[in-house]
Parts: sequence; structure tokens; C-alpha cells
Amino acid sequence: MNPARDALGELVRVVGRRRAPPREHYEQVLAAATHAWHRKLRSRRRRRWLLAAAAALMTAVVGVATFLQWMPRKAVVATAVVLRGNVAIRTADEDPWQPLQPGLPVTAGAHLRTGTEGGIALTLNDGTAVRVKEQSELTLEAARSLRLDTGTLYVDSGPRPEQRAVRIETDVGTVRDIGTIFEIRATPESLRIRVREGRVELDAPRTPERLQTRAGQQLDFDLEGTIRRSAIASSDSAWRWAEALATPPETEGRPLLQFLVWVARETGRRLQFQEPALEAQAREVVLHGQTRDLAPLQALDLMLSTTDFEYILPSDEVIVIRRRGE
Amino acid sequence: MKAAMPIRSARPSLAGALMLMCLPAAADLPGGFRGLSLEEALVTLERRGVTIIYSSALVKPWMRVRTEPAATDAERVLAEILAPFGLQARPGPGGVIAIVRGRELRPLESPLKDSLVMATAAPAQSVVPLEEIVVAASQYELTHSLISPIASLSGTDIERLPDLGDDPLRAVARLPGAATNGLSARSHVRGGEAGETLVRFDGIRLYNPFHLKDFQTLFSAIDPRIVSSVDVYTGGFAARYGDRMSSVIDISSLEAPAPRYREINVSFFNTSALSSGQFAAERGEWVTSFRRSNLDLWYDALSDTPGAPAYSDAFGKVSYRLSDRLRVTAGTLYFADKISLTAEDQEERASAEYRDRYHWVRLDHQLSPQLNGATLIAHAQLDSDRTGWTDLEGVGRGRLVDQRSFAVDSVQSDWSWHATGRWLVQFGGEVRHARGAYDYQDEAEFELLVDSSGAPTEQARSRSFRVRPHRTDYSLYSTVRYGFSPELTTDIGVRWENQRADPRVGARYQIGDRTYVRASWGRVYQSQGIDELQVADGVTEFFRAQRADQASLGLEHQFASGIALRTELYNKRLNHLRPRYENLLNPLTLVPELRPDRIAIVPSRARARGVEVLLYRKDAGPLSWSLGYSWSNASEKLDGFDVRRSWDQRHAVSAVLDWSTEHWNASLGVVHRSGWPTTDVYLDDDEDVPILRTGARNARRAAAYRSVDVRVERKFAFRRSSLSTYLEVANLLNRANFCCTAYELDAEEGGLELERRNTVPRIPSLGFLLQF
Repeated sequence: MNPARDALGELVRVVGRRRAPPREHYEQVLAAATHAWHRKLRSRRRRRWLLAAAAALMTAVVGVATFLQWMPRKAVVATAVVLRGNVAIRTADEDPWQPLQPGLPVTAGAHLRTGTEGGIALTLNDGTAVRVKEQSELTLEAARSLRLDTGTLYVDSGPRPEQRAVRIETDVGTVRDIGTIFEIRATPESLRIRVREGRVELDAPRTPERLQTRAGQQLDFDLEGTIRRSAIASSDSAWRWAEALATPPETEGRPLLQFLVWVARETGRRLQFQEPALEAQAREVVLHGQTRDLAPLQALDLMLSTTDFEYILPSDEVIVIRRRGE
Repeated sequence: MKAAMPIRSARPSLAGALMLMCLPAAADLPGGFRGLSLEEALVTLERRGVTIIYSSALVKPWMRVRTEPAATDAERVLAEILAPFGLQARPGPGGVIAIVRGRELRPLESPLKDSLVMATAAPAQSVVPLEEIVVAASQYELTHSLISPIASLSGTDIERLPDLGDDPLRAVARLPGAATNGLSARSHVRGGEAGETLVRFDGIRLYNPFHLKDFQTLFSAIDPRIVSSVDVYTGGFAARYGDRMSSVIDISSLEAPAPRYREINVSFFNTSALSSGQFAAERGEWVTSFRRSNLDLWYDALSDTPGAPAYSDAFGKVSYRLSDRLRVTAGTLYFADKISLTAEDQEERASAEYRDRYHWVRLDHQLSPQLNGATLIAHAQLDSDRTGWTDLEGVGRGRLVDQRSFAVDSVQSDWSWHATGRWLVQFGGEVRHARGAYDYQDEAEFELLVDSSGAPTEQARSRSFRVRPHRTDYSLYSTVRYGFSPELTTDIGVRWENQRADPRVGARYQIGDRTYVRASWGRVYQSQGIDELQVADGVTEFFRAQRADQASLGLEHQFASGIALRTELYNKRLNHLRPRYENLLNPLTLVPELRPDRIAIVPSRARARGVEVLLYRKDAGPLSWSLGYSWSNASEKLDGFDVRRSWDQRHAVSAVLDWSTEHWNASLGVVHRSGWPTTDVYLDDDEDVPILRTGARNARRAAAYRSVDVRVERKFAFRRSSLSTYLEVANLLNRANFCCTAYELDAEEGGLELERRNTVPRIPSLGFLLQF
């Protein structure tokens, strides 16, 4: 026999049978255990409900988000960056006209109307700058498609491939740019196209072929099919209204040269430096601060005053940058 | 074709000019521009609603605001911070301010402005208000310090204060919270010891920068002519300052104010010459100066006893801007003393020589508009040689030979990073290696003993020490400042120094347009400098670092009338204090260590608390004034009892009145303070050796201290130069202010003779300053 087991058996025998606890103690322990068990059950049920509620909420959120995602929405095609005077918008034909706020997105199909002293500068999604003169009305049909019912429009699409051209419909014909800066003025009976840079094509029902207008040219066309061509300089005062709606580029932390290039483009002039070294210096000079609500030449005045440069306008074609006082 | 026509840039329109003149009240600005790059200062102004346009062609990264603008409105602040660089603010269309090159402006810097402006009859536009005691409000924006200095003094301010010897460090004594015995140029600040002040010069730490070091440190070693500005911090200082518990005096040196500038200054106290200039198309500049004391000449002429308290100092620096991002400066400071003095009764004699030399190279970096810093490589050599003897009948006799030599090499770098408009991070560190040598001998015999804890108990002693300590200290710090809102800015920093961390926190809250509340708490450790071993008192071991915890709460308000109020409550607790040695009765001796009343004070801890109020008005016409009051209580625990510290002054009032016109300047300074504590003594000659018994330590107070000081200056302008002549009178009323008590035993009757000693009597000084 195993002596260890024998010793254990002896010990059990000596200790004897365990005594049953008093009845009231048993009841107390049973009540406490039952209470704990019920509490645990309630907690587990509550947790299940919470999990179910969370799952339902998540499903609802995902469902709503998915629904909203798939809902047909009007695409944003442009942003209003400069507003002058009265400019009104309506998003659909049946909607009332409402004042347009700067910085707000403009959706496809929106109609815009400028008042007697109004004007607006828009930036299309692809970066094309569109400026609308006073007493104009147009519709932004799509990202690169506009309809000018009446009034004057200035477009600076910058150099871009032909397939990304901006298309502007008028009552008289459809104008398509080929990387250019131009202005069109439309009435129900006539159309005038002025090109500052690049080329513009006009597709009109009464013309056998597309009419092209080049930089420095003005084309007048009417419903009778009359075509009249004339010259217009890129720095002609006729462009001033568009310059007044120009949006200054971001200048904070940017080189002066970038700003000068913008001024030259906006004023239709070539940029020249009196000495080649000045161009390198203009590239090095960093600007701080931002000009607002200033025409390009006014902004140039201000910006150059913070440097050692100044500018002169020796002719209609160029801006010459030179050292101050020379 | 149009004729070629220059287009003028952005002429100021009437509306623009009005706009510039009438910048909104909200543009009232707190201080904190000094030390910022010009670009940072412009950004700060922009955050206050001023629209500014500028370019890197005129606003260069190396341009730094050297002097705190006196004005509080944006227009004048702009004018002041731009003028030193020949720039000006011009209103443009659309409410924009353009920073343009000024046509009439000439670079002018303190302290030369007055005279040069006058001499050249410059137009009013070019006159920039002089720097002044700007008790600036703490910075609202994330500028270089949340807790502003209690004062920023320019060299001109220091000269105009009617103080003894035009002393930049003595001028601190006029600030609330400072306590001085009226004789020494060293101050106790907010209950701390005089040695608890950190003095920096162009970022270099100076060690005990005083002339007559062991002779009451009568003058500081900094010539006010080479000072551009002095910032004084009495609490809540930033984590970049460490190792001194009570105050910081941050001095910036003069920058060459013109392509060529020279001056000669002769006064009762000193003769000095300064020359400065610019070179390489203003890319480089240099400043040199030399000053010698005239006291030895006067001493020879007026004193019957042999002696010559001679001292001199020199300063030189060359600075060159290698690029817009890097500026290199090499500098040197030299202080020399040669002192020989004999007491009137021929019972004491001492001679000493001190030679302190500092050399440094400083690199100022501007890595980007957001990140800038400075790196310093410095070497300091401090040598001294002192001998003295005393033979005072009935008191004691002895001799002392004391030679010391220390060399400290350090490299430090401090950086500031404007992470965003709301975040500012400052960080840096320092490594300092120091080595020194103490050779000391001392023999003393006392015929009198003092019954006081820490006093000599033996009648005779003989000491001879040779101690050669060396050690390397290092520190790192970082401070993060965050602007929660335009009203609330907080500052959290920590300084890690020799394996101890010093946390610093601060907050500043703006209530309304003109009121600011500031709160700060900081812990500062102060180690025993390698040159601070009290060998002359028999100490040969360095003690552990002392510790100060200071909390302060302040309120600043700018009244519409132009009067500004700054008030502050503080509570400072000092722990781990090391023993200090004081002469119980008379510290005004040539060799104080050989006196029997020299006692060791061993406090277990100390506490200082107080209230400071400063009211001042500047820029309100020719008359400026300031009025300061402080109540304080500085005590220490000695043998279980709270005892007043020896420099505890319960009430102190200081007023300064300054009147300036084009040709005249007059200033009046008044100081009134409670007398410092004293201890009663009486002689007990029942013992074998006469014993001075003492009453309760520092239980009594001396009479109140008062001093009225005046200074009058007249300027004469010539075509290419200017001459100023000035008369200063310290202690105009010749009040006998108590300093201390001389004592000796009556040889015939055997009694104790006590003789009152006073601080400075009336001292007039006439001076001339020629600038050309």
C-alpha cells in the first residue's frame, strides 16, 4: 500500500465529514449567487441589444451614404472668385434669381446674370478663367461648355490641347477656343470676337466653314452672315474691364518673377528686363502678402514698391523692369 | 508710342495716410518685438490685423529688432522697427501697408540717436523715439518670451538715470524687487543673494563682472557706452536661462550705428573712447571701446593714504554677414583691476589685481523664416591675485594671500522654431568645461570673539589651501509655447541641467484690449560656480546645487491716458542653501575675512514673498516718469527660527522723472526704502577674551534709506559732431544713510567703541561726451 495515500486517508478520517452550513447562511449565499447570476444575464442581454443597435446604426449610416453617393447630383463646374456689383444666379429655369456669393461653387446648368455695374470672374474646374462683363447673361451647361445669351465674356484658357477647348454657344454661333485669350460679345442678332492671344473658331449655321480669328484680330458677325474683320491690340484699353476682374495670383512666398509674368499676361504686354541679370534677381526675390481688389498695374505698383525694382511702359507692347532710380 | 515714363510706386493716398494714422485700437500692441527677426515682427503685426506687403529684397533674414519699440500702436511700432534698416511703412491702396525703402531715413541706433539726429538736423520723419525703460506687457503673440522682462533699458536710458558712474548693472537697483545697500553695484533681487543673478553679454555668461570685486563691487565692468540694451528678468524666466535662481540681466552690445562713428567720454569716474564702423557695403561692422577709471587720479590727489584703485575695460567685436542666412561675430571683453588701498588709520591694507578675459565666436543662423538660432563658442579666463593684512588693536591681526585662476570653455546653441502660427518651440543646450586653481593662505589672531553661531571660536588660525577643481556641466532645454486663442498663450518648458530637471510653466491671458494677466511657476537650480568656492572662509568642497521655486501672478494694464501699470505678486522658496559668509557688523573693510565678526550663515531654507507695483508713463511729450513700490519679506530658517535675511527691506519706493528736449535732458531719481535688519551687540569682558555678545539676529532695523539723485545734460550740435556736457549728483541732499558699524575696543578704558559708517555721501560728477 502506498504510505502517502494511507496517510491521506487517515487524515480524512480524522477530519471527518464536513459539516453542513447553517440554513440561513445557505439561503444568503444562494440569494447572492442568484442575484449575481441575474445581473450577469441582464448585462449580457444589454450588451446584445447595444451590439444590435450599433450594427443597425452602422448599416443605416452606410446605407444613407451609399444612397447619397448614388443620387443624381448636379456637377460643380466653376467657382466664383471675384464679384462686383449685382450678380444673380439660379440653378434651374424654374428657380428664382438669387444673389451669388463669392467663393461658392456653381453647378452645371446654373444661370448667371450681371447687373448694370456688375461683373464676375469664374474659375472653371480645369482652371480656365472666365470673366463676365456687366449686363450679361449666361448658362454654365457643363464643365467646358457655356451658353452666352447676351453680354460680354472674357476667357483665358491658357495654352492647352485642342480637345480640352472651351465651347461657348450663342444665338449666332458656337465659339471654340484653341488655347487662347479672347472676348466675345453676343446679342440675339450679332456676335463680336476679339482675340488677345492664340486662336478662336466660330461655327455658325450661316457660314460654309468655320471662321478663325487670330491674336490681334476682331471679328464681327451677324445673323445676316455679314463678316467684318478689324485689328485690336492686346494692350488696347478695350481689355481694361477684364483686367479689373483679374484675380491676383497667390503671392505669399512666391517669386517676384511669377507675379511679373502674371501682370504681363493680364495686361497683354511682353515682359522685358533692362538687364538680363535682373530676371535672375526677380526670380530670387520672394514676395510676402497678398494684393486684393487691384487691377494688375495697380498691384504691380504696390508690389514693386517693396523691392528695388520699378517698371516703365515705353510702348503699348511691353513692360520693362529696371532697377529703381535708373 | 508713349514716352518712357517711370511709374511711381504706390503713393500714399490721403485715405491711406488716414488709415495708417488711425489703425484700430485693437492694434495696441504688447511688447516682445526685441530679439525677433524683422520678418517675425511683421508676421506678429499681421496677426494683429495689419495687412502688410513686403519682399525679401528689402526685408532680409538677418535683420533683427534690436530694441523694444516704445510705442504701442501699430503705426509707430512699424516705424520704430523699420527705421534702423532704412525702411518705412507706406500705406497702399486697399488698406495695405507696404514696406518700402525710406528715402530720408538713416540708420540710427541707440545710444547715438539724439546727437546724430540733432547734428544732421534730420527731418522729423527720421527721428525714432528713443528706447526707454519699457516695462513691456508680456507678449500676446508667440514671440520670444511669454514672460517679459521687467525692464528693457537702452544705453541711453542707463546714461540718463542719475546713478553713480552710469552703471548698467547699478541701474537695476531702481527696479521693483531689487535691493541694494547703496554702495555696491550688485543687487539682491526678490530676496535672493546678490550672487543669484545671471549676467549675459551677447549671450555669453559673465562671471562676477564687476570692478573692485572684493571691495564692495562698486562698479560693474560693463561700459554703458557699449550697451545697446539691457533686459532684466526677476522671475518666471524662460528655460533658456538657468543656473542662477533670482534674476537674469541680458545685455546686448552696441551695433555700429553708422558707416563711421567715434566718441570720447570724460567724466569724474571714467575716461572712455569708442570707435565703430561698417565695411563691405554694410555686410560687416566693428565696434571697439576702451575705458579707464579716473578714480586712481582723484585718489592720489585727494587722499592722504597711499593707494590707487585703478581699473579699465575694453571691448571689441567684428561682425560679418556671410549671407542672408549666416552672420559671424567674433568678440572679446577684457576687464582689469589694479587696486591698492590703505585704511585711513593705517590699520588695514590690501592690494589686488584682477584680469578677466572673454573671447567668443558667434554664429547667427537664419535657416528659414521659421527657424533661426545662434551658436556660441566661448572661452573665459579669470585670474586674480589679492593680498591684505590687518592689525587692529583690540580686535585682531592677520594676513591673507589669495591667488585664483579659472578657465571656462563653453559651446552653446539656442534655437527658435515657429512651427505654425500657434506654435513656437525654443530649444538649445550648452556644454561647459571649467578648471580652476585656488592658492590661499590665511593667518589670523583675534583679540575679540563674537558670540554668534558661525563665528570663529578660536583666537588663532592658520590656513593654507591649494585646490584644483575642474568639472564639466551641460544643459539642455526646450520650451513649447502655444496660443490657444488670441487671448490665451501658454508656455511649458523644461531645462535639464546636470541630471536635474527644472520645469517652467507660464500663461498669459488678455482681458479686454488693455489688460493682461500673467502667471508663472518655475524651478531653478543654481550650482556653485567653479569660481565661487569660499576658500577664503575655509571651504574647500563644493556644495550641492541650491534650488528655488518661484510662483508669480501679475496684472498689466495700459490706461487710455498713456499711463501703464504693472503689478506682480510672487512667492519664492529657496532650498538646499549653501552657507554664506557675512560680516555681522562691518563689511566695509579691506580684508573682511580677517575680522572676528565674519560669521557663517547656514540656513536650512529661505522664503521671499512680495508685491510689486510699477506705474509709468512714457512717450507723452518731453516728460516721462515712473513710480515703483514694493512690499517684500525675505526670511530664512536658521537653527529652527525664521530670521530676516540681511537685505530684507519691507517697503521700497523708487521714482524717476525724466525731462527731455532737443538740447536738454534732466532727470531726477528718488529712492526711499526701509532700513536693512541689524543685530544688537554688547561687550562681555568678564571672560578671558573679550566677547561680543549678540542679540537676536537681524531683530532690529536701521533707519530708512533715502537718496535723491539728479542729472542735467546739455547737448550742442555741430555740423559733423555733437558735444554733450552733463552734471550728475548722487545723494544730492547728502543724507547719511546707514551702511554698517565699525567697531574696536577702547585701548584705555577697555570698552567697545562702535562707529556708524554711511554709504555714499554727496558725489558730484561732471562729464563731457563728444560724438563724431
